[in-house]
Amino acid sequence: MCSCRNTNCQLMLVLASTNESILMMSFSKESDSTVYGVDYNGKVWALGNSNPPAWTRLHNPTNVNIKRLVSFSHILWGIGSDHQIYVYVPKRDIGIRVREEIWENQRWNPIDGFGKHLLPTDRAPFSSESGTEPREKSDKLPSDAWKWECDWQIENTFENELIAEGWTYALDFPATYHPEKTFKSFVRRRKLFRYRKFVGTNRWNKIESLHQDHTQEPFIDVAVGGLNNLSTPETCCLWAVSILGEVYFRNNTTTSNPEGLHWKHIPIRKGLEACQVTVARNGTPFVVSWTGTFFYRIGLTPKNPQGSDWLESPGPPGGLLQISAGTNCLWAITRDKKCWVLKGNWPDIVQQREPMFEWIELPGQMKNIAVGMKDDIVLALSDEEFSCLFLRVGISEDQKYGQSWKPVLKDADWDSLSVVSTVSNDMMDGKADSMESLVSLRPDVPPSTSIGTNNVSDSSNSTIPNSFCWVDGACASCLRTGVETDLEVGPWREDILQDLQKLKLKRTNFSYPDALEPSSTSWSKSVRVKFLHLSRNKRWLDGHLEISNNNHLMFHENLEKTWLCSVGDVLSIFGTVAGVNTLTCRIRNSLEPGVAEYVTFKFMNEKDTEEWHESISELALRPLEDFSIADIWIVTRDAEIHRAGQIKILEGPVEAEVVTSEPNGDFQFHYPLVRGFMPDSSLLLDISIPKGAERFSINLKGNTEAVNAFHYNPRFSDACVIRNSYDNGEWGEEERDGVFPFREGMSYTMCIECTQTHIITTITQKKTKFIFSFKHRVSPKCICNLFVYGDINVSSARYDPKLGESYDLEFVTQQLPGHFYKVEAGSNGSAWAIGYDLKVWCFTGSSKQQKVDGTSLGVVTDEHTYYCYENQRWNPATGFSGNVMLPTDRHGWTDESGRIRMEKLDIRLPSNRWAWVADWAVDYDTPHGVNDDGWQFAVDFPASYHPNKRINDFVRRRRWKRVARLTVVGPWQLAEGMKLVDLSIRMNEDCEWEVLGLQENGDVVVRSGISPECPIGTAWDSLSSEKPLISISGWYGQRIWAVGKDGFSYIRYAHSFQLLDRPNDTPLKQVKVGSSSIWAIGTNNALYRRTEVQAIFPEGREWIRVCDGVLQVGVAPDGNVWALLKTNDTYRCTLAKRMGISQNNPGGLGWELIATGPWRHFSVAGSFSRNK
Amino acid sequence: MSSGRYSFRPTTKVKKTRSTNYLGGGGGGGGRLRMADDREVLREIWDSKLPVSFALAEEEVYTVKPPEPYYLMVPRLLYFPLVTDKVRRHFAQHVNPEIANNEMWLEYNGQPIKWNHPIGLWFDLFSDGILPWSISIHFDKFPEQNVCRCPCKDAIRSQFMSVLKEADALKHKGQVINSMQEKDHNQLWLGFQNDKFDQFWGVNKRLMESPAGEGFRNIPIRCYTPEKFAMQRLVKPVDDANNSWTSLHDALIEFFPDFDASKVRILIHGIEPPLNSPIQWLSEHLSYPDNFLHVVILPTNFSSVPS
Repeated sequence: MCSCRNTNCQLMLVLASTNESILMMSFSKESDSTVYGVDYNGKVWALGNSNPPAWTRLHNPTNVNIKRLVSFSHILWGIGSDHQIYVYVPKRDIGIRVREEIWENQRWNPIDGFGKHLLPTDRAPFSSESGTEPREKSDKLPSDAWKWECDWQIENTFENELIAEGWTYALDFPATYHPEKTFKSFVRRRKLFRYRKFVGTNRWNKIESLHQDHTQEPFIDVAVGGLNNLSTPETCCLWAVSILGEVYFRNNTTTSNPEGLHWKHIPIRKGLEACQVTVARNGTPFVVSWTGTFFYRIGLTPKNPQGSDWLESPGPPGGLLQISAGTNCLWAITRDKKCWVLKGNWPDIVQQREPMFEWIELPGQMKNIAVGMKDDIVLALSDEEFSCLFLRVGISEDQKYGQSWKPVLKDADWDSLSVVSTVSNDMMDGKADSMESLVSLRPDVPPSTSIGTNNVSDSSNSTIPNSFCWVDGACASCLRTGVETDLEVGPWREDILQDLQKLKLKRTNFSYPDALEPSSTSWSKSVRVKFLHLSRNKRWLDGHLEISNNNHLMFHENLEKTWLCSVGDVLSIFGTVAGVNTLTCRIRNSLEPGVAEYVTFKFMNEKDTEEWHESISELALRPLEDFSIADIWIVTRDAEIHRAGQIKILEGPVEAEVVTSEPNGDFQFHYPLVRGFMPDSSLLLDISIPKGAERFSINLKGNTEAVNAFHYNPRFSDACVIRNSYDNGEWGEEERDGVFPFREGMSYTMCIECTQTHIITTITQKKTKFIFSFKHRVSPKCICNLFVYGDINVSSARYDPKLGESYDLEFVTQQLPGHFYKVEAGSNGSAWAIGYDLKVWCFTGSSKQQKVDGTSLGVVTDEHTYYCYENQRWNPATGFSGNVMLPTDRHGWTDESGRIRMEKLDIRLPSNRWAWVADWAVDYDTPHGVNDDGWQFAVDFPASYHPNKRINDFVRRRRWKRVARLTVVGPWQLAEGMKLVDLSIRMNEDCEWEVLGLQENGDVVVRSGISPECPIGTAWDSLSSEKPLISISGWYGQRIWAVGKDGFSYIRYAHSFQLLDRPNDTPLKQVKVGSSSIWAIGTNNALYRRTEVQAIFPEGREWIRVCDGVLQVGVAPDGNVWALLKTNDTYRCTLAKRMGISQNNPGGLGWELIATGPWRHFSVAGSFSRNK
Repeated sequence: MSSGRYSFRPTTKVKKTRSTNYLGGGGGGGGRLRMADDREVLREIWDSKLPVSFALAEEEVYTVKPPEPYYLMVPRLLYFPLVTDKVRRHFAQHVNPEIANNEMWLEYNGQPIKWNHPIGLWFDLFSDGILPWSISIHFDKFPEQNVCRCPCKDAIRSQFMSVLKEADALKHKGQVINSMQEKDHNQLWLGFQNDKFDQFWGVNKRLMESPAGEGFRNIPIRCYTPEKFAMQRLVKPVDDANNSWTSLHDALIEFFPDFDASKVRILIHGIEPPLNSPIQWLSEHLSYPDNFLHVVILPTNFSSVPS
């Protein structure tokens, strides 16, 4: 953009949207993105995410007039009418809060002890932690947009120990410090901290000018981009061009320091003057010079966002006028008004040793061009007298440059453009339709007009300011998406349903038999799977899985090896516990009630997996009314979220594994008696005896061949029926008396009944009955198979089991869609969950129904970061190399431990619900720090790594990361703008529900405005806390308790958290407040209880240890204490309930084990029991 | 951007299976696909049955004592040959043994019943609404002119599948049905034939998917009047002119330009759906298993339905 624009500022454009993650939300109709526009009077307007979108003028108490505007991540920077740069931070729920830390250093001298008098070689009296940077203990704030929150405080804990005055002692700087003062302590230091808050929100704050006299070098252009790292706070790359053609970079500009620190002059080649700057999504600036060339910065790293060098390129023939950079595309206008696009992706070209920029000319005379950050939206202004705004159409993954220009708005008297947009992956995946919903706005066109569809809607009641010059926004699909116009169900649905029900009533008068009898033999579904029954056989079996129509799951290997279980006995289903395309079922154990078994099915493909997951889940779904304890929430290690409870199941479990004996010649028939053969059970067999029969036998066997409770063996040669039993490896005494009932070639009905004392067989032929009774020798409890051998045909078998009197409470879970790390429930029926990306979600499903209904569904996303490590060893010839390693070394690419080889290509997405967000990149946030290239050095593998190479370091490694995003549809709503690590739901003193949350940096926030109509609440407020916290918990009538990062417990009185003690031997990591008790977990996984907590003395006396091996604790509304207990299996842990808690034994006596499983986190705070 | 839509289609198709198979079964309220998700309605229609009283035509009674009528609850969605095995066995012993092995045919009110239309459709169209529905059984004089023969169950299957394919051709240019495997077709048919709702809908739901906000390409719909049997027209789910969902009323105007709602009754599955119901929703939920929306139109004076 040329400088003439500065003098003749007829128009301005801007547009801002937010970073990509926010836009994903926009998909769920909760757009957090805003479009900004500047009008002729220099006022800035925001197009909010209200529905319908409406323009509101930005609050501007200082009356700054803005000419040009750019934005990044909710923050706006603009050039004011005085050609200075201003920053505007819209007020949001949680403001910007920065913790300042300084170290006070003192040295001992014999005269007056420790004092400020340091040696000349020493560090400054106040310094940074390393001592290298002197700091001042001053009240000076970076600018008047900041305010101190409190005075300097002394950090009084050190390595999880409480120390008076906060001093730590050492022999000398820099050294290891100890909390105790000894005879050789010559220096001491302590940490002071203080919080400052950004109060300059909702107003334009001037960023310092380049010179004292701001008229000396005014700015003519500004641009901002972000480094594509997902760190907090985000780095903003703010570049500006001054009237003298110089380029400046604003140092240390981050989302928590929007003003930056100081201007850094980045000189360009001598003799050149810059006229325009654009910043790409990854922060690379492109500067156009007056001579028509352009140059860009290379060597950008997170530590050095301004890059190291300029590279210059001539640009397309004709001399550049303007350039605009997207993620991969570079669009340009030359002085002869031609439009050009760079062939290829500029990030690839830039990386070549000798970058070759090849430009493609596009038709059309344009005077201005702008590309969206994701390359998807390109707008251009034509160079005719009445310029027209064009949109590039047909941009797709295959056709990056689009197909043609399409006029969008005519007579647009504009002369510059800029499009900033980020678009969700879904759009990139081909949801081209939603690209039509870009928004373009100007005074005479109502806000909902979409570029691309070209139909101008006629809403005349738009609230656009009349003086608007123009604004253009490409805020992706957030403002209008196809989903919102989808068919909505109207009252007609109810009419239809009612009519159908009336129709049903009419036919209730008729009790005719059904034309279709449910046929018992037909299967419903069958699929090829691999099968693993962990406790029975340790290897995968190949075979078929079937759901029969009486709801049995059956696995068989060519009908030979069979495993069978009633779907009703499936207690939990887990998706990917055992890997991709697997389902793991937790099922009731037929042999040992209460201890669940795990079986795993591996399907051939993803489609089968999902289909079966759905079918089994549906069949295993239990109505909420059946739960005796309901609404326990639990998250698995694979981030599945389950709603769980305990249920009384009246029927005995049905699970049987049947190993049929080797198919010897006389084996005829096998029938699994899956519900046992308890007294009052019966079996009805239709049999026929073939001609020439010699003998056959009917056997009631146990689970193995070793037990035969009843052996019924007619022998035609002897004309007698032998009855016997087989146990402990030997046959019992034969019974062979009675009449022989059978004749060759005849058909009989045989009934086998079990009574309390006998097994009674009745043979019926026509009207004749032959009865034998056989006294139980083996308990009928063990019977679970019927085997028939010999010369007999069994044409049918009817099995009528008597159900055992089993009333076991079983722990049943039902998976809900979603991917979470943590879940917390409240006794108001609400549930909140935290994803791996620390975003906070509120459950929107029904608290009354176990099943999710359609109305509450929304798009739920989560992110997972995959890491792999690149390992290299130094050798004298080539320096560090991953190829020349010692034989004992790890592979060049491994996981963190180094034991497992893991190349970047080996890491695949778990399912098609996942998509990569970006390509592999070096991770600069690796623990222990890294150097500028991301490397960490060590003497040898595996060792402790440090960021800088020392003389004896022979190996180095660096971490690569890649972020994958999951998108599912689930009953969750995002609580926007917040990332939390812990939360707790409680009713406060005003009897309002609130959610307490802990941010990553340990700050406390409260979600308020929660009501039954609006379970997600309205706003986050911050709750002042001086110490960073890691765990927080509250309960109605109890104080809020917390655990600090220092491992101490805190209790909240009035307006601050007060430091309490911690157990003697260990720091705490979690605290849980119940209605009448306070519990905590130490880092040693011991459970602690707070003693003597009373209403008048809420902080209690001390922590006493209750037991070990506890991973997490939770308190139910009924006062029961639940916990996750460690097991031998690192993958699984056990959910358990504390038993025997009483007045005399407030710590309880022991654990009742409820369910072992791959649990990670649970919450019982919303559970309730039902008395039936 | 319309050009982009087709080039992206393959990708979209892959996504379909993805987003439908999320857990919990619920609905696609927030998804980018619409589909038949109102289980309550689907189930109600699936379970809809008719009480039928079958009686042997008097002239064919061969035994001294005429056989008792045979009473059955017959699913509205099925075809007669799938449910009349028992009826046949019951009456076969009462007719002249010479014709006992002939193909049985049904007649109501002097009109032979075509087996290749769903039972409920025939009832809505030709019965006068009196329950039970009295049907005469014939073994003799098969009305070759009016009714095609049904030699075996495979004939019903191929008839059913061909209508299903036609419906998908209208809805998705046949892409969905053609992308299915043989076992899916099998599951559809067995689920339908054996009255297994979940088995059938497990596959059928894929046939009922459409891009959110767009609906099917065309609605498979047929209108029936007692005089002019079946009519078929192209009906779009969305009215492009004013960008709104086509209602049942709009759809009927396609068939009868001078459609007057006060003069006729519109029946689907024995009920009169409100005329403002969107045809897309009706097609998803009120279609017969053959995926066609069979709409019966009766003149009002024909509707003396006793309550």
